[in-house]
Amino acid sequence: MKQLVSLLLLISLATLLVADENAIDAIEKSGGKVYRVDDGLEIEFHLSGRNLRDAQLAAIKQLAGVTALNLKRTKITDAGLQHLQGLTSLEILHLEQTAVSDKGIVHLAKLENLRYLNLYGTSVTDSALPQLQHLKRLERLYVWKTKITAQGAVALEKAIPGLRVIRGLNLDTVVIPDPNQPVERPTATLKFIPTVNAADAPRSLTGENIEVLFENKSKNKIKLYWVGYSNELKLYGELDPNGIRRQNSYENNTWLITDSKDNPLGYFVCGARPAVAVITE
Amino acid sequence: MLQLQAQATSVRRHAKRCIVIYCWGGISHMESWDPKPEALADLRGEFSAIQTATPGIRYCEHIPLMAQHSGKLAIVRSIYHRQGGHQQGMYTSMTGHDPPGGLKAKNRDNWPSLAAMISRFQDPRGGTPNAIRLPYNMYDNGTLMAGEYGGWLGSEYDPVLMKTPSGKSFQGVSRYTNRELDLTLQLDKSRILQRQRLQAQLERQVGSATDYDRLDRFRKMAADMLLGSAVREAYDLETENPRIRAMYGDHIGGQSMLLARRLTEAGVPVVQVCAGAGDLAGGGGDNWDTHRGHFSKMKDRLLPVFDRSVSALLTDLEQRGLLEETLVVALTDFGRTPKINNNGGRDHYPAVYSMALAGGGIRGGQVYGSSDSNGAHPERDACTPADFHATVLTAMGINIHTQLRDALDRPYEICSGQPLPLF
Repeated sequence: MKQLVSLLLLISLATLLVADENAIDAIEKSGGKVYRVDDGLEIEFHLSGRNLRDAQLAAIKQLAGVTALNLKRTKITDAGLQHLQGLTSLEILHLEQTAVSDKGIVHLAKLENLRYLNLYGTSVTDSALPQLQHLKRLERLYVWKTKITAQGAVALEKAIPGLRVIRGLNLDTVVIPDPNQPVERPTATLKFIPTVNAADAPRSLTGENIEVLFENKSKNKIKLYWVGYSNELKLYGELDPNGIRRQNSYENNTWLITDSKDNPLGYFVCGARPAVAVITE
Repeated sequence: MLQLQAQATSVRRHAKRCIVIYCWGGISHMESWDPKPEALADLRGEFSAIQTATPGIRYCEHIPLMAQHSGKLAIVRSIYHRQGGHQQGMYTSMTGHDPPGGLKAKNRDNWPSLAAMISRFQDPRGGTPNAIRLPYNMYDNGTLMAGEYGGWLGSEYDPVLMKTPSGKSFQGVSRYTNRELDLTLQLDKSRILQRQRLQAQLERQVGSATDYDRLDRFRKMAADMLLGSAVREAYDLETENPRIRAMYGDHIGGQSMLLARRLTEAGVPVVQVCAGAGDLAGGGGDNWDTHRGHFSKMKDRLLPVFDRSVSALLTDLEQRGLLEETLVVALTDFGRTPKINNNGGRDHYPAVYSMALAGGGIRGGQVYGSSDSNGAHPERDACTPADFHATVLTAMGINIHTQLRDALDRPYEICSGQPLPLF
């Protein structure tokens, strides 16, 4: 008798496992991923299963112990959420950036273990709040970019102790900088010391970090060389006529200017403050 | 098959993604997370402390935005190690292990970086690298630094270096190698497909050796990404809401944080960001190695970018509901000397410093441990980079006692520290 019971148990367990396996197969065919964690299953569609549609969600119903489900940016709608009604072990549910609206929220009312619900970027409004009030264990509700109001959020937080509703930043308050705004021009000017001999330019010494604004007011293309700490020359760039270049540099650094054929024209030595270096030659 | 799934993920993961922010050069603890306004004038410096959103916790006055996020942050103020050089300090912070003598960046005996180690335990997906670094390598006066690579895990765990496609650069020296991944390349899709077909033909004739497989994995991944994966989509910052971009700031420091958010959102398990110029260049430029002109550089150049970009990241992760599953950690080489030097700077100081964590199951609004009144030594709950690593790995659901083997089959226990009680 005992043997029979254990055999029956085994068979039923095996059937369950096969059913599980079929459901998992179906989920994976829809692009989903199933992770077995200590206390249940975590299922994700948000990376490789974004084409998930309502009907494909039915496979989930057959699985017991689903604790997390990520449907972010999938193609599910309100109708798909009916398949979630029985997932009472669900703790984490991502519905952000889907077509879910107030109508779908009604299917979530029995998910009594839910502690994380993400509705950001959906069309839910304050009308969904009465349904959400049933979720007594909810700790985090994300409603950025929805029509849930500040008052609605506060009321829900009052109704569910321990809940925090995250409404996110009001993007209208973020100022976008104007790209056409003129850049600040340093007031100090560096002295141009003409020379035809590169050896006249002293080697650079270290000092404070400053910025130099090179302006080529000459009619020809010029080259910009940094004179190194042991007199080596390092090409930093070329400047067309009327070209400007913001250059990071240091106090006591020397910059040698040559024409496009590397014939020296002169040099600048940086001071302690940001400065403009104008090439007129 | 069910069993296979069970084996693949047998531990409960708190955090699913990790963003590692690295303050290369050594951010001063006293001018960031651990101000000492009551210390003597030659120690406390020019800045004052401000009250954060968490009663009783104060930060430096020049990270006011971060102060509003204190409820999300756990600050460790009692971390220390014994390495006074940048290379050694960075290696220790990044790997959680003391450096051997004669460190070389590409040495496969080195310990893997935190990012590489986390990536080792992730489930790779098509077209998604396991770990990405932004926006350039770390150098010290032109020498490539050890500590941010895969080490003995092997080259397949070297985090992929990616260039942040926009943002005003940090002043100073940052070295690009032209080998960074740049997904804005305008490659014709049909040409990539054609090359793949050609290669498949060749491989059928040649067969494939195991040595070749690792290289192949990277090449395949690069091709997948170029052909339009979620990663390539994430890389295109032009598609981001302009107001969100503005929130991060139009600096490469901000845009790299934004890219980190987008990449982790697209399924990359771990992204590391170098938050400053890439080459220390003797302390010149916008890196945290502030031996001279410390206060002006911190106030005018470094802290504003740091404050704005990291706060934007926390705001953005939070409002998308991603902060719970995304662990954000801020690491650095070491702290800086409590006593201000003759050049108005602070020098290297590993005897006590601070690091920060947020999200991923970490309980915010707390400070763990403390330094003494001069910010010179741990006063309470002294801990090490190994403990910090144990904390991060645990938060990622990785068993810190796991044994892994290198290419020569030598066993290593991945972490020698104990997790800090920050959850």
